Amino acid sequence: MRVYLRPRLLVVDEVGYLPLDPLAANLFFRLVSARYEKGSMILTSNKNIGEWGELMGDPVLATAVLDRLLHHCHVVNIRGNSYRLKDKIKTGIYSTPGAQVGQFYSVAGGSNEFRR
Amino acid sequence: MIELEQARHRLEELGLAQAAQSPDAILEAASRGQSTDLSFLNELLEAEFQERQRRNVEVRMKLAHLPYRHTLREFDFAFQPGIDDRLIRELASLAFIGRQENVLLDCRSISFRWPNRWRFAEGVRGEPAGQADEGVPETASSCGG
Repeated sequence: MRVYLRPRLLVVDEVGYLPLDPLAANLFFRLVSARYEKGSMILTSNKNIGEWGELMGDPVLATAVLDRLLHHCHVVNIRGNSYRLKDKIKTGIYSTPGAQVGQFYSVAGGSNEFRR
Repeated sequence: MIELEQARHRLEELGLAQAAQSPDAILEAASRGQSTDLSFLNELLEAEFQERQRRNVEVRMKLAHLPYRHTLREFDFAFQPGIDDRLIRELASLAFIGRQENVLLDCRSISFRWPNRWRFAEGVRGEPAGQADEGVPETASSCGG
């Protein structure tokens, strides 16, 4: 645990790529909880915040995690085409769907939305 | 000149390689300008410090084994108008680390639409052909950043 607490910034990539089993979910909670207001984290996820309950297999635990994560948090919503396809779209190989921009939720809104 | 050589030698012995390379240049600048002894010393140490920091970053980048080196400067914000570039630049200053804040990059990027002429083949790609016509399949493709 100390390994993950020592750095001032911890990057967790692809949260939600695989569902967490109960032990993993518990450990993840302990990690977030231990870093809460002590060290920053950057998380990337392709799951809606509302889906974290499913992802962690326990909505209560997920709420507790998100509560701590989102308390002091900048949420960056990335919508639109995958940047990796940028060049291909430009050359017209793929058509672009109307970008679904918007859906910004503020920090507080994010966690409330989840609790509803 | 001998004094300069001595200074250079001492700096090298102490492992201040960058400072050892440039004391004459900094000395010259100092004699032309109106720098005090203290500011001269600071400049010399600053040169060493910056070089070390640069090398440190370089080594860490190498150790990280990142497949590509993308920088924010290259990023085309026009491609992803949903992203607030001011927010990104503000985050890039890393001020949030000092405040122990978090960043959540929620990147459910919409998977691209296959052009009409390819759509018949979508069954092969595991997507229901009918759904793709209207709206955008929410199956997340790789994240944009």
